[in-house]
Amino acid sequence: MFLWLRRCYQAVFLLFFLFLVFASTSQFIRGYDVQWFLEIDPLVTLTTALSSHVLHHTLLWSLPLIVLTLVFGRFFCSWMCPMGVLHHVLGHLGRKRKVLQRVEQNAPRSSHKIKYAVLAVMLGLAAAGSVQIGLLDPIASTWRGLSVSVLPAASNTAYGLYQGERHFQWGTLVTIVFFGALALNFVYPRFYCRVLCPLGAFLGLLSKFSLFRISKDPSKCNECDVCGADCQGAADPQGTVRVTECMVCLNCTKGCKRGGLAYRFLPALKLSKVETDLSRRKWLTAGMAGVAAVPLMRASDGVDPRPNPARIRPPGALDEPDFLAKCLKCDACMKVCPTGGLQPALHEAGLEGFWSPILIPRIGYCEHSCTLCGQVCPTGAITHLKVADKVGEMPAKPPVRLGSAFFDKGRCLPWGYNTECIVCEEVCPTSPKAIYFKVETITARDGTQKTLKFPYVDLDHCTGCGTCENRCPVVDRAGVRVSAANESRTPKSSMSLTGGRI
Amino acid sequence: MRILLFAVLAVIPPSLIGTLVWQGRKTPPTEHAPAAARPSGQEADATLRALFEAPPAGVKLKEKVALYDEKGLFDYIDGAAPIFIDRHFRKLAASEMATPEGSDLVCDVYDMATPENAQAIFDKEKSTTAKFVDGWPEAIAGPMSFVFHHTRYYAKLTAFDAKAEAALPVVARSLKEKMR
Amino acid sequence: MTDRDPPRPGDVVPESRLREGGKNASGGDGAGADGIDRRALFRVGLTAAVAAGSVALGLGLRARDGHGRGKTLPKLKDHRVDKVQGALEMAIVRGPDPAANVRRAVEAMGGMGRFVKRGERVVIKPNIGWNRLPEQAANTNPEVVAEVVKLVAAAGASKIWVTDVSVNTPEQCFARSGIEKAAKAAGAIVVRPDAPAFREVDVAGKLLRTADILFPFVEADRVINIPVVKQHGLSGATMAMKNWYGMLGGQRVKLHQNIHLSIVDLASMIKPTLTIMDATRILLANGPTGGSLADVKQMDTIAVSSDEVALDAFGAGLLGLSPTSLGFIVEGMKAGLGTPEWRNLKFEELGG
Repeated sequence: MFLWLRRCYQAVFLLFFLFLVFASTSQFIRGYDVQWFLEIDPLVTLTTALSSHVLHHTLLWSLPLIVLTLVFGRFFCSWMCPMGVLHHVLGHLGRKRKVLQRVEQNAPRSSHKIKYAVLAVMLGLAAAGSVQIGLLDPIASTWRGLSVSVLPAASNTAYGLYQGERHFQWGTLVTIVFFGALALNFVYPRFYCRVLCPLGAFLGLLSKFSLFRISKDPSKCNECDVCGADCQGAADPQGTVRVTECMVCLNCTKGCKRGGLAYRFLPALKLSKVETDLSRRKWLTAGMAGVAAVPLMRASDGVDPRPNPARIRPPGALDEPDFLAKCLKCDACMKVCPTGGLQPALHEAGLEGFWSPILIPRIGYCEHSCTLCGQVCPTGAITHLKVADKVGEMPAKPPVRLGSAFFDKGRCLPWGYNTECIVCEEVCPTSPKAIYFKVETITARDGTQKTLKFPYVDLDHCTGCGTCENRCPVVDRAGVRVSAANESRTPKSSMSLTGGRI
Repeated sequence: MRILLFAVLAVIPPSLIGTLVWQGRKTPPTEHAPAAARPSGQEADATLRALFEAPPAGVKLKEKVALYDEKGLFDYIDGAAPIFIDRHFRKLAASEMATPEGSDLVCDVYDMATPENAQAIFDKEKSTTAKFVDGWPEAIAGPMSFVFHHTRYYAKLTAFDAKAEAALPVVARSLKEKMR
Repeated sequence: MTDRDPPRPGDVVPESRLREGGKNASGGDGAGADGIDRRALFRVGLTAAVAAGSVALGLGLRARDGHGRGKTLPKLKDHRVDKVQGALEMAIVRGPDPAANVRRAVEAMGGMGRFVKRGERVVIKPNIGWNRLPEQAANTNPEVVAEVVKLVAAAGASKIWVTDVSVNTPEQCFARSGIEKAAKAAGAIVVRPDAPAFREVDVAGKLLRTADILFPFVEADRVINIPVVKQHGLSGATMAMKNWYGMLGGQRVKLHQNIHLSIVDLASMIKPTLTIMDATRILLANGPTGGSLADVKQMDTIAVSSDEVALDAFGAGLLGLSPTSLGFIVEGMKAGLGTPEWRNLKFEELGG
């Protein structure tokens, strides 16, 4: 009976997750809390709190889950986790036919300790100020896989009817990682959940204190091993139940035909195993490796002191060190961006910023009065601006600047080819426009006089939104391009004296 | 016991998800657009209707407030319509109210689009001998009637017996408080 | 010996195997002289069918004219109604209620029934180009759009489309301009400029031979243009004629290299039924995007005509520009699209 309840929970929460992913567009989002799953994720709370020393208010949702795990054990993995449901289904499809073969598939392995090392490394990185948890966190990974890989592919095939044509740079890497993890289920079921998942490791550690656990009644056991045939966590129900691995899927309670296994309140401790098999030395080594990795990553170039000009962050983003201390690389901002301009960085933000959001204006510009990225960011790496603050009101209040536009006079049509254009001036959304023109007369090739409008950028008004670059008729590398210089979130980036800081 | 537990667990996801979805359906507040000098037709209609909410002193609206535009104005006030139309009148909100004792009151508020137009129609309609209400230079009280203008509105209140007449200034003042 | 083993010397080989010639015995219905013929016929027939099919497919798919598979492109229709002797050619109405202004102006021109007959399909083209609120006057006033939809519906149109190819993200432009909501409430079908909505059309213009155009402009019987009056950095102003940019897909930003001629080219390609110029709020500076309310002027005016050049000249006057200083008006006049001297038309001015 409770087995069917568990299956219902899985279906309902997966559907809810998919609904939130689908709703995460500028057209459908309304006020939905689309990042609810990340908000209840205790690892997100823990790592961002460690690295940024503050707790974003929405992340308090994770506290109920921590408490529930302490009481009920690692039920999240079997009852609620969307990645868990996908892997459960695929693992079920990939399972061997014969019972004894399945028992072998679900046997505990030493590789299952790896996820604890992964957790330790992640916590070490976070303690030193770099959040990388999103790369392996199941919820962030599922969101990213759907947003950057699956949904764009489906939508583009259907003539872009869902969100227009969507392309993400090197999105194939996300595809490979996402489907690769799913394919591992054909090695043995729940491979990812057992070997790699840091959230599973964390919840497993909390389960050590759980009040309810699966426990075996030794008097009923005839050692047939059938209970382990469908064990999701490889928790060894036929031996001593490993509490840290048990996902409370309840399959073993049905598997045992003699009623020897049950989910009980406070069973005798000797009937369940609580060590994680990761020795203290291994914990420390992994943790220290994580901590040490941060200055090693930051010793390379591209972040500071020579910031990459292509590292244009979303509007409302915190200054770079604070941003990297909070950005999960969940790609929620990229999903919701109405123009599709927010893209996963590859090298532009250094290794630390891999898959964090940058604006690529040639693909999509930043809509002038849109603040959706800040609305969906679960950790506050992108703050939710008020439109009035984003747009500003010159001259009294400057707007939020993502960067600035620079003319490439060799490629711009009036400047380089004496051809009329100024589409950039036409589409510039600020008022007064940040691109203005001067009318001048030049001598054309055939000797005649030609009057043209020549465009210029006014740095005081330019917000770096990239509409000009996006619309420039020079189709490959545009005649006007935006770079991150002069972005308002970084005082050192300012080019003019008006900032009041040098 | 197990049944109870099952029931509790079964109820949790729908109620949790239902609450989250219901909460999300309320659109987040869009940015506040600075109001234009003159509001659009639909906004102005809504503002006009809102003047009649919660009348004071136990007075109640007898029916829904009726809105009349240029065409409808002729049906309502016949030959008197042109003087309003010439002064760029936008809409008339006509209402019938009743005092707690049951006496009838008619309350017509004209949205004249600008304060200048409201002043103009007020001046046109008032008689040369009319005296302003003490302490309220935009209002004139007559036998069984109370007329005033404020911001872009022009209001004409009519009573049919002494009891209702006493209520006119109170109703007028409460309308004035709501006019922006 | 089974059917699968080759016969060894001395084996008795059944007749069925002799016929098969060593292959797996399958299909057919076995022994008999007729059996041979039927099976052979079937095999020959199958081969012939595959051969014929391949040849037919190859011939059918072959490139013609060296340009790939030839196809005929649709053309744009002439959506104009016949001129009526003595009818009003231009109506200008001023008043505080935009919807009332539209009603009075269209009535003065003879009523919508003069332009739209019962059962016709109509496309209404407002300016929904920009991600702006109505007060910022970058798009057509939603109340004006709603009123036009209502009038067209009352005239008995069988289908009413409202559409535009926005410059900014379409879903945000359609929503924030208020036009999608107003048009839907009035009963129109709002068409978003998604990829499947475009058709390649033979436009036979001077600058453009073919263009990608939204399907309602190809399929509708009547076309109504509802531009808004705005200043524009490159062309000077953007009003009725330039509004036709909004039916184009593709890389239309290239047209800016010859803006005045391209505006007139577009206005010659499409022959609308009626133009209702929205001058309720006009954009005096920083057009066509605008943004600041300081650039907006409340004019409370609606002007209706079938002459786009005349309307553009009238709109230029509202913006404080001389009509003949605008290249597209001069070129439009030269191309015979109309006259900038709107006062020479039979016109009527109503309202304060």
